[in-house]
Amino acid sequence: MDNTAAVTHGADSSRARRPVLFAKVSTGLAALALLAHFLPIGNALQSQVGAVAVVVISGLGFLTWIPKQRLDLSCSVVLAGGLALTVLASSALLILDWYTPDRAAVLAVLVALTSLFFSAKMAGTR
Amino acid sequence: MTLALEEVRQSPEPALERSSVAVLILLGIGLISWAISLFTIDIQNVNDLGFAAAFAPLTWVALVVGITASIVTIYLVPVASKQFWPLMVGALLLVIAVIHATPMLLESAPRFFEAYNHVGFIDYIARTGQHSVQLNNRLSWFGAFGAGATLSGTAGTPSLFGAIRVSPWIFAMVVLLPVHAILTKFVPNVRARAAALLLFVLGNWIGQDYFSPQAMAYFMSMTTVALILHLAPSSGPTVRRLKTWWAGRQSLLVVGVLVTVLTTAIVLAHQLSPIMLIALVVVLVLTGATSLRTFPLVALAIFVTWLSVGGYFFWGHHLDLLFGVRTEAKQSVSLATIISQNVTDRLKHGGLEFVVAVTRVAMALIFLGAAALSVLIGRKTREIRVLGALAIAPFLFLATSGYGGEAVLRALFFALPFLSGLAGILLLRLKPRKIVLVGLAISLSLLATLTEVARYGNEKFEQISADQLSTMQALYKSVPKDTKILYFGNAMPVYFTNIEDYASSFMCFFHFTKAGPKGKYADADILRDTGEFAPDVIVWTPEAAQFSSHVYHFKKGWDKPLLAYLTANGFGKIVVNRDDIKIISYDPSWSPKPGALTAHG
Repeated sequence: MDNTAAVTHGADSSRARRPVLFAKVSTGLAALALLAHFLPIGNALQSQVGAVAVVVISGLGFLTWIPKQRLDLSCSVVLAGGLALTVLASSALLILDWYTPDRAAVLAVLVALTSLFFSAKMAGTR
Repeated sequence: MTLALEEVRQSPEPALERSSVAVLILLGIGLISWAISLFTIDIQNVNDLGFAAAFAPLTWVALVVGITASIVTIYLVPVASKQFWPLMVGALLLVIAVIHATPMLLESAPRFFEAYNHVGFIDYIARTGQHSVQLNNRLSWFGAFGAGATLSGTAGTPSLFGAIRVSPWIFAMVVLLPVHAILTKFVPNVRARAAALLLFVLGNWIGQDYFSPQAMAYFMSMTTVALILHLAPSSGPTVRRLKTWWAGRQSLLVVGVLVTVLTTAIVLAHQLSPIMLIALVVVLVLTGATSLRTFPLVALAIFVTWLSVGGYFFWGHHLDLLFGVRTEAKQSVSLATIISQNVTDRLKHGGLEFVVAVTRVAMALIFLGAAALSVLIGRKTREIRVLGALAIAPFLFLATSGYGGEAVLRALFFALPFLSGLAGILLLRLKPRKIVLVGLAISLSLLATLTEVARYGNEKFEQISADQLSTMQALYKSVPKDTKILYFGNAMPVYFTNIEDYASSFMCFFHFTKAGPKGKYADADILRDTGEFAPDVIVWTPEAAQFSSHVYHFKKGWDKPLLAYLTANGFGKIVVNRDDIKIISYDPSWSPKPGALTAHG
């Protein structure tokens, strides 16, 4: 069975709702990461919250496009996709000589959110 | 569809099988044994056999119980029951904890000196926003370090020693996700797949899982392979029926974009991993296992593009590095020599070091042999043939690259998921009789012992004490800018902060003119190179000296007379004089207060 057809043409309603759910989760995580920056919880913990939020949001941006619901593949894609987007955002800014960790994190999250909202819009119009 | 039928065909679901209860009890015993043993292990007992020499009896109990729980789950717990995978995952986590978490939890400072260098690169990028190849040519592949800086540096200067400590443990767990996703496509039998995961854990002695770009790239590579197999699967003909094979191609936009993004990230993160990924994808394409017929060309184009731009500083004027003609002392190094350096040279040590080297070769041969036998028996099955081809593909890397050092090990690591899959299929050909299960529990427990020895044996030099680390932190804080620091070897926590503020050199990288570092002119060569570098500070640790002997063939005990000479000639001033670290200053303008660099000072 070619599952790619499912994501392109919207095979079932739960799959269609997924991008919307992910977009909400990501927005919540982004808010949490932002909040963590202002809480007196120490740099290390702020970093950890920020890192998890960036990877998960970026990874969800990836996962939205993957129709297969297998747990092993989904978790791999969230982690690997999140890392890949962070690598690419960081590298792009380093090449452009415009790098700071905050900018790279924001860029990775923005790309992921764009992907999420684009996917959510597609799901909504099906 | 095959998978679903296979799973339904397996035994029906009982309420809570006796076998499940037995595994639960075993897991409880194993966990408690391991936890208690953590308080009784004395890491001073670690010798050339690694942590195997220091394990308490209860640690061994935990390991054997973890293996036994895995065997009972694989053969006796009904796969249709809800308990199968939770129990299997529990057993795998227990085995991983004993093998990988024990050192991480007990050592006073995290091991793996290379990981400290990586922290230095991340710290540099986070502070300066730059990636200077003048500082180190590994910054030509700055993707992983940039990601590290982004993920850790959003709240200030990164503090990543904790990440070094937990990386092997975390990696050993999460890498099972893409490996399992890949194996679902080739190993429809659930029990065989579970066995393959256990074998993957036991086969992962290769030490490429520390806090490093290659570990990150490995995870992304395996996820890419899994994605290709799941989103662009094909069961069409192989390339031998060229026309039909080519007609089966598909252009899947979403899949193409996703795997291209992942591949680009891998190319930016690590210089060698893309070659392995391309090798694996080529096999998938040629065997008709995926419909993405042209993706290897895309991946190759990304790889070559970055190599010709970002990687220029690495290979510029050294084309031999790229095309398998590595040179040493102006002589070309053949493929046979690379294999020799990887395998036979490692067998030249004596005593326990020899035991560890033999263990590593034996581990590799066990996996390769089991996989070969599995292919031989199941050669009529398409999936097994493809798995066999995937297991061979990474070794082709040896013929295409002049990368020496650990080339065979890295190829073995990339082949491991497929070797484990084949070995898992072989294991499930055994009928689950009592005698077989007992035999398997014993033999796999012995294999786990070999894993422990192969993983941490001959790596005493990787141990780093908290006292050494705090002394090095104090050194970097106090030395003036542009200080030239010479180390007896690179196996120590160096280069982890402010890497642009000082120049570093390592005696293990010195050039020897006559008869190498063991020859009768070796001492004179070391002194000459030391003089040419004209250090302001020299740092000695026993681990660094031992590493230079072990890996770079310096004669044993080489450091003692040199240390005596350097401290006795009247020029140097010993600012730290401990058994675990000595620091000699030749810079009259730098004189730290007494005790300033000592641990807890």
